[in-house]
Amino acid sequence: MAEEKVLNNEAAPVQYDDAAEQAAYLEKRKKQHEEDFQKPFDPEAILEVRHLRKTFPIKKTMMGKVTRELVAVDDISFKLMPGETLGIVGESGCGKTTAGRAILKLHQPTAGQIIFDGKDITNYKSKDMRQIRKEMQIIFQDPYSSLPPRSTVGGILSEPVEVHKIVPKDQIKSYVLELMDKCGLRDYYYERYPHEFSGGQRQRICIARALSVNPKLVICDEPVSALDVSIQAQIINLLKDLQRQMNLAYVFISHDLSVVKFISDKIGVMYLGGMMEFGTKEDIFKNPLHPYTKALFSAVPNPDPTAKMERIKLQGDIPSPANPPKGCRFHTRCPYATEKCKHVVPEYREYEPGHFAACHLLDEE
Amino acid sequence: MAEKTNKGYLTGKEIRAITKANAKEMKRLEAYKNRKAEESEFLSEMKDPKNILEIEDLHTFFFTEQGTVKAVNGVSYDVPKNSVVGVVGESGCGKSVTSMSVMRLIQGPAGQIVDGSIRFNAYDYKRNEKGEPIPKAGGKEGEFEMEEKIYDIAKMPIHEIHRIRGKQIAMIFQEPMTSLNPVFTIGEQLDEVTLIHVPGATKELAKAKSEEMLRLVGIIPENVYNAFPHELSGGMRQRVMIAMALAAEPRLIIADEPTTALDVTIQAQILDLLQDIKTKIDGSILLITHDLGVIAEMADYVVVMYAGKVIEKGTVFEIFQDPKHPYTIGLQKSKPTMTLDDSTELYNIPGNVPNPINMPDHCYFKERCAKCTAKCSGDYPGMIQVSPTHFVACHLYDEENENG
Amino acid sequence: MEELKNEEVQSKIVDTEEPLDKNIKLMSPTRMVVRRFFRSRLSIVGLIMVVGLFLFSFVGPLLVADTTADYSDDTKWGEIELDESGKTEYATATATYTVDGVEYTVRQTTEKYLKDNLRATPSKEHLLGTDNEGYDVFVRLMYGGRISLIVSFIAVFLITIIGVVMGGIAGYFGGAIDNVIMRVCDILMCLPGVPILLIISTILDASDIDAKYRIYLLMIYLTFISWPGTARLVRGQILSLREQEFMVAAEAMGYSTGRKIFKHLVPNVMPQLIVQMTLSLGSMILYEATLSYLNLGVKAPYAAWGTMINIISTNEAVLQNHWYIWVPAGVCIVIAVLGFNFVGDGLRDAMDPKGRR
Repeated sequence: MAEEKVLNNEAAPVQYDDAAEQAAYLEKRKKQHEEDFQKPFDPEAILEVRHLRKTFPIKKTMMGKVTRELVAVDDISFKLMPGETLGIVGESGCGKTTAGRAILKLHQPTAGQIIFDGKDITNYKSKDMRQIRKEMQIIFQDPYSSLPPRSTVGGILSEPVEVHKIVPKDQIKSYVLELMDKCGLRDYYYERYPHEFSGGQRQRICIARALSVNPKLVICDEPVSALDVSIQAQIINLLKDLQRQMNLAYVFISHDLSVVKFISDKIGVMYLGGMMEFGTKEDIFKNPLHPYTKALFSAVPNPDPTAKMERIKLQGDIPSPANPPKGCRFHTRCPYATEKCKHVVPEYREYEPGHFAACHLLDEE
Repeated sequence: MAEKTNKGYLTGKEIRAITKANAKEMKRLEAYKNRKAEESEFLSEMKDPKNILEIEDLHTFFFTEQGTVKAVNGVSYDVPKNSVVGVVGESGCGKSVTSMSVMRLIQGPAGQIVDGSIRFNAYDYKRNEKGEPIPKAGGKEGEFEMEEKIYDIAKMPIHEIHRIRGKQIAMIFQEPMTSLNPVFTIGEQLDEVTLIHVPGATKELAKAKSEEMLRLVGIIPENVYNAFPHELSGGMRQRVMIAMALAAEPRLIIADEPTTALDVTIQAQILDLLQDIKTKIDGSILLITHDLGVIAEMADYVVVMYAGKVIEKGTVFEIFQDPKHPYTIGLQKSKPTMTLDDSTELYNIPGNVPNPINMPDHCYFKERCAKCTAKCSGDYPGMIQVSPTHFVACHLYDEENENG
Repeated sequence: MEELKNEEVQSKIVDTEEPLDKNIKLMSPTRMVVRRFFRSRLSIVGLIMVVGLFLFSFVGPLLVADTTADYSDDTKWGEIELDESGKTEYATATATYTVDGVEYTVRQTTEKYLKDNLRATPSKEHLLGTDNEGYDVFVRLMYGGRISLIVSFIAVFLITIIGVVMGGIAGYFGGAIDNVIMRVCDILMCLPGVPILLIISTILDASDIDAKYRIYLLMIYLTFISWPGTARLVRGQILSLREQEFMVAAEAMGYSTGRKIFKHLVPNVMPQLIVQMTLSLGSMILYEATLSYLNLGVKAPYAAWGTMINIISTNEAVLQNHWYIWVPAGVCIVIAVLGFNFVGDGLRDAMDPKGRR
């Protein structure tokens, strides 16, 4: 199929004007964004992200004007319902962590809209944000650096409760102990310091801290990547359990496809800052549309020695996000790339209900 | 090891006692490590001539102030010629310490090989009485008489280890970001390997060799030879690391989590490369990883380690299709896979790895084991053979063995 | 395995596991630091030196010196009390000359009566003798220690406060503020310390300032040019801590800026800060001694270690014959500086066990 297309292209070469294509694309994108920003908020969704973009300056002039920037997250949109899990997968440098932090406004988004619980929080000041913080929390990848080294577990867990006045002062300890029990931590851990614990237990403490303020949304930024397999399973089960009990919505960021598949309801596949494909778990795993998704799936080693499957091998390395390729950002490694892919940015479109992708190949079918 | 006070702290007195005992033990082992010895002292015989490496009853301990950490506590496994042996286990199970012991890279004086033997079938220079290599009659410069020798690495004095380290056995580390020296170019670092390990090697020879190695790992030398490590991506650096490992033509490559820091698509490339290399150099690979998927894809034989001991070993098919030890079974079930039905809860092994200092006398896995029986409170189970190549250390299979 | 539900396993295991890991308890970070500190012999030696000096300087005078203003106690000596008991000093001069091939030697002895008991050798009355002016060396040694220690503590305290505030602001807020503060630091670090010190000292000499207080003014100046070091340290620490995930977690928790700085950042900067403070105590003592030695700091009749050593520069005979007047002061300076450095090094090793060789 792919080879045919390449042949067709060679037969009738199309000349692409990069500058014109780029201008047309930007114009179209701007119009679309303005249109989308005016749309009413979905009252049911806990989180709605519209065309989120985050750039970091690389080079500045003396006057502080940015001359070169790194586009960490480029135009991602999705909706998340309460009690649902959205998995974001991608390789290193794809901007998944930045996306997670931009949603929490730990990084101020460059453009786009973040609608949390019916409120547009994109331009909230840090004072207003502080009130909202208790409803959206984050769990980090590294359980070693994410706990303050000089506080006891009890101190770490009661501080947010105290600050946000979740329960009256005299009930804080019992509240924290109950929370610890819920997260599988023993009561005598209360007096201990983080350095006494293994990675898995520390991650439980992090989870307990995030849940201490009764959030509605938790961003899980690679929460199990640093853990051993048997501990990973414990933490994933714990997260699933807590989700059922507290009706939490998760944004689960990971590079491990099998983990994402296990925990998510919806999945977004990111590459170099852009969303390549988005859909429900069934859509993505049973019927992947984008060649990158397919390649990503086939690269995961299968723990079954008999099943030696044929791989879609990706050549080369991931380009630097500071200098992304023109056209489709995946074309440098795509086995099916055509001339068009090198020049024209593919549109991110809905191909099936709720199943989005951005690839030229899909349009031609 | 030491009595605990009510609060669970070690008292100063206890710590002093431990420190004193440790100092004595460490001094003895350091002296043994630095002794002068005749070659005959560390020559040995292979149990099975088909093996390239035999580790037998290896004990590597770390002497700390809290007590002795038995990181490797009686580990035995073999690496046959032309095969990939995968060692799998969770962090702290001693899989890396075993490989570091093979390379004699354990950091002294706290870390010491206490007991056991590591026999390695080396293809080394034939040496005259003075211990110098004998040049090959009629050969080119840099060619010497060679012969097969079996060294017992655990008994080798540390200053003799250069015969093996980096030359006969090469190592690939997990962190491609930190394993290369940032101030030298790739070419300089590659050349160095040849210059060190080949007696009489010239710069031209080294460069030719380096370029050959880079080509072998799928890199065009012109682009990379003069580059600095920071100019390369993680995958490229790992390729360079592999090229460095190959430069001295080793018979065994120890790959310690070679793909853990890499992305899946790059991991797939590196794993392919390793398979490819193995056939090209006609050597063996000792692959250490925690990723069962990687093991299943790469290994011929699998060794499962837990808390410093081997609990199961066998061929890859035996381990993945007919696992015997409850830990191996649990490990495989707790890993979510791409094909797994995810409506159910993930199986998990409860609890944590026991504290490495106060190891119980009974099976270390007893506290976390779903199948444990009264017998498990007894002695640590021995290795039981369930098939010619499949061994397991679990009391559940005691009877089967006695009957049949 | 399938029959056994996960939860059952879990509950069964909880009971067996509890005693196992309940036993293994580690210490709090502070206790660990204290323990490691006391394990090193050198830091204990340092601590003994420092504590000894403190007792010597602050408790000593209460026991052996006359602390009353009019020096009424006959058996004890005060800081600026002269031994006016009088002394006869004999000086012998020898001359040789030849007359008609015969050699004559003439020995002349002069008897000199002095009002004060100068340069007395150590005795029961004056444990280390008296100095050039007739002051008791031992008593002045103790008072000199007071000045040195107080002055250096004040200076270090001020340096730390200014350094933490400036460094903290620069590191936490970054951007233009950071730029301004760091450039100020750069400029201050360019200033040549000693020449300016000489100028200030001359100005102080010209103006009517009590000799007692001029050393404090000089130390304030030293503080002023020394805080950039601490500010840089704090800024660097905060910059690296700010990137740590627990700070991001604190941000995500919605803590106020004050809480983030004082409850999360500062406690983590403390270890490095304490080490820095201890080490700079030693250098401040040296500074003070240098100033006093150059006659810029504490002036007679008040005692300081540096001033006491300064005697040798005015009277060579003291350097040769009366070691007990100036050597003890030098020993005190060495003990103080070494002691603080040992303690500082010990603390650093204790706080960062990985840093040890």
